Amino acid sequence: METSKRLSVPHVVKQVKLDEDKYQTLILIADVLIGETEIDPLPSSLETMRGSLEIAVAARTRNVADVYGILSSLARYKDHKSLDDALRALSKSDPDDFQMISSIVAGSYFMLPEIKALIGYPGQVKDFPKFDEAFNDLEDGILDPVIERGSIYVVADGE
Amino acid sequence: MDEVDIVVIGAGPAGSVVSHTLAEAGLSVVCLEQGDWVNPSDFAANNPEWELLIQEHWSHDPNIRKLPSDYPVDVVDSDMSPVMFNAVGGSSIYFGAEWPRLAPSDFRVKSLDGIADDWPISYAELKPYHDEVDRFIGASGLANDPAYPAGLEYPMPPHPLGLVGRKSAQGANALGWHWWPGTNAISTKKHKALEPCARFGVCEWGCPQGAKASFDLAYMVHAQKAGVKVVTGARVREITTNSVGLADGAIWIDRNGNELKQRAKAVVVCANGVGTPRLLLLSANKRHPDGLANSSGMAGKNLMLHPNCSVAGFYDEDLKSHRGPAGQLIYSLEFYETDESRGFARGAKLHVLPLPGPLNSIEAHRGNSFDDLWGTNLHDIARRHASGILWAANTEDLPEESNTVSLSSTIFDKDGLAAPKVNYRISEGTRKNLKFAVARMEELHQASGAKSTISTELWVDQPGHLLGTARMGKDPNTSVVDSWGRSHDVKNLFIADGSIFVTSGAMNPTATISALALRVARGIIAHGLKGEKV
Repeated sequence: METSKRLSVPHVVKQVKLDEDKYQTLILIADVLIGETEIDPLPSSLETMRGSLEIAVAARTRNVADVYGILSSLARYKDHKSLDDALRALSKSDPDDFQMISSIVAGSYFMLPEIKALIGYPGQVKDFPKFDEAFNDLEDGILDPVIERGSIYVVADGE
Repeated sequence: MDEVDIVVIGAGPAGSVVSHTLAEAGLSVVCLEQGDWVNPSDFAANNPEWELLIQEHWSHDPNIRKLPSDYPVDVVDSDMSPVMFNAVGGSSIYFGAEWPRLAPSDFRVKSLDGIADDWPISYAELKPYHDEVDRFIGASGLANDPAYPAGLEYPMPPHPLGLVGRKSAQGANALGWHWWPGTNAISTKKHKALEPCARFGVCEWGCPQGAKASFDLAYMVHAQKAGVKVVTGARVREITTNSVGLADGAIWIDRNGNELKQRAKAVVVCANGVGTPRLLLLSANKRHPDGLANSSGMAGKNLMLHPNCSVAGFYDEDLKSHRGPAGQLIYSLEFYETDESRGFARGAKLHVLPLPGPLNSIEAHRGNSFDDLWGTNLHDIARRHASGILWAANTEDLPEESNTVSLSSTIFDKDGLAAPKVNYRISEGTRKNLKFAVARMEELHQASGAKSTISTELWVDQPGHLLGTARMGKDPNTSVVDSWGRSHDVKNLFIADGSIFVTSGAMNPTATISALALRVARGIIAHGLKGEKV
């Protein structure tokens, strides 16, 4: 009997456990693809990245083995330059694999609370409008030119 | 199972409206739904990793999502991949809740433009049903849009334009083009089971607030109160007929693989423009060898998908693009009607949505070169999450018999039923329409002061508007159902979803689907289950 199974809601594991080799490969990919600026930190400098990557892998795909396969193929590139070259090549030779791995590292980085604060992203949160906001948005007459032009619909039989 | 008056197949917008309306009239109703219930707390956007979750687990495309409720769609011979959501509420779980009605001209394309066909009903005939559904669900909008006849009003006030809507409206004003505050099936105030909109901005990936009028919340919970029995995990494999060719029920497969039969005095199919023709074809029998209700050969033909295109624009200022609704903040019908100078018939509806999320901003820039996207540039692109505006367009898709839903010979669902096979090619006219719409949306962004734009001439994986595959009409030789959704061939078989559209218009279709469903249900009540009261 499978009566308790959700049919229209995916079963998502919240977090995978990355072994050290996979983590080291993934965090180096993050450093290459995300980099750093004067105000934006390098991913590997953030203690919170490991947990975020583990959540991101689980969130991105139900086929975690696919991610591990990509990591395995990139594991031999241990320095920034050779991995950068390998990722550029992957982006051309297998765009789907590159999309998956790059979305994981970018997604994991930009969902960190400290990074969201840096880029001014509050997340998708409750943000109720003021009761008169819709009215105020129109109060300056922004809609007047449309109203002044008048009817534009095409008259049809039987309307 | 005990015979009921009506078995409704599918619990999406049409099925919910039909079920509720018939139960309120005192008929016994069972609604069979292959999916189950989804709670607002289930949706991806309840989690910080939501932008990753929507790429596969919560994808719009059932071929990627692969939930137990989903069936595969064979798209090997299609220019686009039709999408749907299989649950109580149907695809309204994942719709943007944009809530425009078809325009008067949409019902008279043949008369006005000399192409396709006129509908057997008119804008005026459908208007009272629209108004009733709008009141029931609490549709929001601003009255008296000059792109419609007088008398179009909404029961709830519109949503704020927000910074995104105002910026876009300023561009339209600079060009002298029509625009109007968005009408949405999203509550601006508490309404029955619906909460007021909290501007989560993720309407198309499920509303965590429960403010969007997905039809599980907006209608089906009320249908249950009226006595409807909703059976989830019920995948219908065949509509059955009796010795005189009338429908007598449906055979369905439960979540454990058991076959059951629900007997009924009449059947109403509400399985969407792909699922409905699939089921009619799966229901072929000796008396109906080409599929049920298909003596015309039109079941599965004339598939229309509203090819979508868009132009994302990015601006210097913080527009708070994470804010919803999305939903349409404004829309433009400036290019809705035929203008022969453009070189194609009919037109497009343009509408504005926010562009929430840093990863979504990155994904929108995938066309950039490696060096322009990755490394230090990535931080600037992620910051554009706050300053993005999406102008998107539905283009009118005209009916062509060569665009079809049939039964796949190679792909089957988990219950062994043939998947729907979609053969769909975008016409030359629609290609021109798409190019034209993209060019106009580029102009709108330039007029609003965009610093950069990214155009997408076709959303290959986003046609959720599944229309025309069991068209209504007066002539049984060229249509599947009459204007009341009643099969010409099987008098107690009705269809009430987007399949029965004659032409597609360019409006987001769920408002019209819902109004038609209400009309079909009222017709059953007025005319009887077999038309005996006519």
